Amino acid sequence: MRAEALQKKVEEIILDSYEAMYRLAYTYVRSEEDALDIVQESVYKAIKHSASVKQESYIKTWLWRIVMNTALDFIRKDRKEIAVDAFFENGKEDSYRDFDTIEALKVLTEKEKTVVVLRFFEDQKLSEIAKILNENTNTVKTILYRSLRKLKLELTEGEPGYEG
Amino acid sequence: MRDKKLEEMRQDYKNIRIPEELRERVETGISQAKEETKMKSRSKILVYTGRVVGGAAAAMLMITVMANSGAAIAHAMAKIPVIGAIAEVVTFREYENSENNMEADIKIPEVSVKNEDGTVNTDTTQKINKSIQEYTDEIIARYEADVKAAGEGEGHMNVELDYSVITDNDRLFSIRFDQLLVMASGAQMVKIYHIDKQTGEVIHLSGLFKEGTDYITAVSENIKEQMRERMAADESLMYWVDNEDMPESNFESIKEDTAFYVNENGKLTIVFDEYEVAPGYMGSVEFEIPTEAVQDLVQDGFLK
Repeated sequence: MRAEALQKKVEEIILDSYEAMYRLAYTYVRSEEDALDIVQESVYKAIKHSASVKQESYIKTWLWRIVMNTALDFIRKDRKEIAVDAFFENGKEDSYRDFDTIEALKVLTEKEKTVVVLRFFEDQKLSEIAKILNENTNTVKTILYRSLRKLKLELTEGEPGYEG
Repeated sequence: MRDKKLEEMRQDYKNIRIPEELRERVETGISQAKEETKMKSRSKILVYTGRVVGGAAAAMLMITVMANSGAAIAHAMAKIPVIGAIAEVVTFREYENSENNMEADIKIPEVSVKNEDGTVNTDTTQKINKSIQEYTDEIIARYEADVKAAGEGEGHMNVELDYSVITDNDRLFSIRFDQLLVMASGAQMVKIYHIDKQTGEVIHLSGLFKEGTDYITAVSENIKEQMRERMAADESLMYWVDNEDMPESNFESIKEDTAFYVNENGKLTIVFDEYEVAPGYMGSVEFEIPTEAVQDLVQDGFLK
């Protein structure tokens, strides 16, 4: 009985927030097709294991975590490019039709990306993000500052004559 | 207040195009899962294999242990008749509790160690059962404290502890505990107890090696080497080694009581908890140490 109610609640929240789930997934893989796969897989996992959420107020946090883990698994399995710190050098070979500011996120590690996206684009609290990443709040803060430092670098260096 | 660039990024993020197909894919995911949940709810035994992914795996870890089976005792090296002590799981107790949305299911096995002549080795039997009980008591106490602290309606945790006999050969008997702690997310912790059947003693990692040998450096260096190799071979893998960004979390060395077991090939295998030497998405990680790396240090009979 309780499990069914919980499953229903998870479903409701998914239907309410699948676009946000998609955007987060897209940020990791930068491909519509892959992001769609990740969302479908995440939704599947969430419904299937909805009984393991112990509290309603945690569902959203828990969904973020599932999307994040599914995306990271996906990246690992497919041996897609993963942004590691040594990624700066990659800038020269990319050429984009328009300069897309989100492209700048590629200088970040997956974890840093998650923190930036959730904090600034999805307005999650640091404490929530800490739960999603299973880190303490101070660590998340450190990651956030480090990410901003890196991003600033990318944005200012990248702006003028980025393509050349 | 907010940086202008960040604001631009936020706009671009919000403008990420949502494919029309998305809704349909979400609904497919939902109905697939529902179908399977219906089918699965009939059978209560799920065998869990693989890595824990976040909180999602919580529901999957429901391995039913047959009471008093002593697990399947396989004397792998049948060529030599079993000498020395015999160790087995004779019974187990179970601590189950559920309140305030919090649940605990903790299985506590009792081990019996017998001497060669069939008499009970009281010393080791008491010692291992005592340390198992201390370990499980601690988990139960932490759970009960959390229930108390949570008060009304704040609970959100689930703790499960299960065990299995993972090694039982001529020289070594090992019993492994897997603790799954689920809060908003999952964490996997492993504890393994070993009995040296030749001496009838409870041993830690140090007990595999000859006294005074520096097995810690040998094993640690081998692990670091493996981390580097794995990361070089597959750039999506990540271990805390040589990481200049966060040097404080780099793996330095194993400890005298780092979790280990001897796998079915007779190789020493070091086990790290989730988050211990790698980011969470890597799960709990293991390293098989080539026996050559510790050949001169290890005592006879443990490794192949």
